[in-house]
Amino acid sequence: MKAGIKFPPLRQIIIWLFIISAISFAIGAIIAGIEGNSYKSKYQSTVTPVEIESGEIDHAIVALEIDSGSLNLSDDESMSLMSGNISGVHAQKGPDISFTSTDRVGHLNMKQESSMWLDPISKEDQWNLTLGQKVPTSLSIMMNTGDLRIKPGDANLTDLSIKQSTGDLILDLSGWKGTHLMGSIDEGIGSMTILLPADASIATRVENGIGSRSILGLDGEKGTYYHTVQDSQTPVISLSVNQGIGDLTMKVVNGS
Amino acid sequence: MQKDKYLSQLRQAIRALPENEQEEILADYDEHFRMGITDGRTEAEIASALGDPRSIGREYAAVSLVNRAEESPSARGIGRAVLATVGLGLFNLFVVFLPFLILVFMIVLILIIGFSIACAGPFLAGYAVLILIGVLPMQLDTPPLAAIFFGIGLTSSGLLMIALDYWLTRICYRQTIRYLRWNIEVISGKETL
Repeated sequence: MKAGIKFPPLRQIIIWLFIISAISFAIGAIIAGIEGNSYKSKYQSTVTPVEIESGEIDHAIVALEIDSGSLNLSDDESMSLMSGNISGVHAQKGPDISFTSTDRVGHLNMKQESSMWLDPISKEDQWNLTLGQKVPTSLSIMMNTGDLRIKPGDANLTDLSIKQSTGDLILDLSGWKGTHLMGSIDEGIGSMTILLPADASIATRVENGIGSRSILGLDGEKGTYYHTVQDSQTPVISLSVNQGIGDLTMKVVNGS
Repeated sequence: MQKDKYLSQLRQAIRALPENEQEEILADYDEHFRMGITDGRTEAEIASALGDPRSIGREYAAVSLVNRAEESPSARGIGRAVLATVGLGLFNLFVVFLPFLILVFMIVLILIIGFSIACAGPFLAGYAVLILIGVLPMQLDTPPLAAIFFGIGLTSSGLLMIALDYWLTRICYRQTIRYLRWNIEVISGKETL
């Protein structure tokens, strides 16, 4: 005798599956409606305060490594090298932060661990940081997915390196007051807006693949643009920009 | 064309059919020749009146494969029946083969979507359970309890799609058989072969 599972008729299966689906979605929707946004407070996101004193250093090397989320970086008049907070719902622990000082050079590393399992669902880390104005700083930012809004203001940036895979970038250097700045920006996909100070001599090399290119206030063509101020004391900005897909706007503006 | 050559070409054209079917068809045509000769017609006249033996053979092969696909339903059987019908004329490439391919593509697509949704449900529900028991951090845009029910709903919706796809496949199979039979009849210009 042949033994096996005896399935009910197909029509019966379809009706039952339809009923189960409808009831499940209805219950889910009712629960979601009743709980509203209150459930979020039960699973409060982590907030990691950041307060790094610059101490006795002549130069700082700051490296930020973000997997996904957004970064707002501005300047700060305090003595801190970096302050602010990082909030998100990223696992139980925040980013790894380390600060060491060697030969009067400070090394600040902030790294958010990535998680292949958790990240695709809804990771939204918010990095709100300020950079101190006092110490000359080399800033390196690596962003996998997310938006960057960087406005260093009066912070004394000497080197800037930004690597961003996907997301929009706004880099506002209009308030920069340093003497020289070497910058390198690499972006895969996303729009890019760069504001440069009118009182600095600027040389840029731009390569962008697919997307519009809007260069305002700079002379030059074919990927090389410059802005010259006839003064030997003029601060100098040298910028290299590589963009894969997205619109690029580069504009010279009066300092804020 | 002489009777022997005619029957030889017909045998060649229907060689894919079972032996007994071949013998039956050849006996029929042999009978046509004998009747014609009795009526005083020549073998060439009879052959001309019967039509091209290769075309007749292809039509018989197509009908036989359609019948077999109907008697024992299988993907291979319907595929062979469709290909045999396409072989009856270039026009059938557009009115039989292309629609058949689109139909198969849609059925497979629905199956893949249904399977994906059905698999996504347990993942969502399992993930929500792990959040509820505190193993994983909250990373959902909906309450975990609701997510569990959404997960169950997704699973049953996916299974529903698969069941409906199966039901649709059965209907399409029957309609394809009917369409192939009608198509062969139209091409051969006969009610039945």
